[in-house]
Amino acid sequence: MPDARDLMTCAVPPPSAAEHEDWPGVLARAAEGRRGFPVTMAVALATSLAAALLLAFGSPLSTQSSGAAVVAIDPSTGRHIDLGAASRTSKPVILVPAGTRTLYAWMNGPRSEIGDGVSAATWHGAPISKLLAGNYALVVAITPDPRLAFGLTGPGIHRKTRPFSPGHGGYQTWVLTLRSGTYRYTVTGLPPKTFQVYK
Amino acid sequence: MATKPGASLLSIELVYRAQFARFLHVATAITGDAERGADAVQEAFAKAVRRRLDFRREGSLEGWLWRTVVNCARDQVRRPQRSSSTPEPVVPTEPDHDRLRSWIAQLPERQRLVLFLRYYADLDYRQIAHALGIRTGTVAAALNAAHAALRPLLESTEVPHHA
Repeated sequence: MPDARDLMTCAVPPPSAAEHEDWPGVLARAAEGRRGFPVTMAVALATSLAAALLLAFGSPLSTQSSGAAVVAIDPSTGRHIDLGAASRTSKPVILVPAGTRTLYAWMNGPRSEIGDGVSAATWHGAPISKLLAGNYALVVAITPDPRLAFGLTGPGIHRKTRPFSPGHGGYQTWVLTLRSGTYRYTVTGLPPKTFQVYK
Repeated sequence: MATKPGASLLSIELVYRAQFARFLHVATAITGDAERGADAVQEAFAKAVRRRLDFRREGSLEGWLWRTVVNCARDQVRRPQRSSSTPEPVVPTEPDHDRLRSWIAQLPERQRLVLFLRYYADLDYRQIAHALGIRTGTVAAALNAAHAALRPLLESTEVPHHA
């Protein structure tokens, strides 16, 4: 005799989620119903992150709880957090591809650094000067001052942050492929700093 | 320190991406059609994004989102379907599936919703209670009644095993 779960699954089998999942569509629809909602940047960010992940890994985002292609990071500590716990918190969390090394950039006051958070206890880790070439997720903490932007240039990369938006939780994430060469980073009005990438 | 109300956009996105399949399954069961179910989920999350600062953290964010999705799916059912779109059956028409669905459709709405949230979303009694805005005891009673109503079907139905 089947149990109730078998019976229910038989009555309505699970539809194909891949055909219907569309987070940028949710943001666009939210924007339709709210004047002045700062959604354009969010759509652009979500789309560019998904596109970058596609380019980097050749497969769409997947957030199954096991074997996840994406992991969540608590930006205040730099530590990975459980996807379930991340979904229950209202604090900002950052999504990065699993297995990608994570770098952090901050632009508070006169300091602007890119730090390697992997070995640091907090995400304000030691500033980097040398890196191995490869895929990285760079999490940039955005300062609320709209006149300031963080920029990174180097082989194959020319990026600048968009102005602060509370909707982003004050962070922007770039998925980057760093190639050998010299990269320069700066905050508006401050002298640039550099780091080297080696093969 | 007082906890700041509201949910972040990223935490809503996380729930969406991690659990979309379950939201879609429940919404499809409520609306009876995968397209309308998907539309209900999209609408629910768009609403949640717009109203995320209203989230009071009295329960979990997930529970709040489940309630929004269930309400949007119920609204979809009340809304007349566009005449141009022909509703597609959720599964190929087979006598057993039809019989199962019509049997479930005859259950009172609360019993149906409790069944969907229990078996398609894998929610526990407390989460179902939060999603439907009812007491945990009411969830247990509704699930009991639904099981009792389904018992004759369970005894007479041959259900193929899904991989």
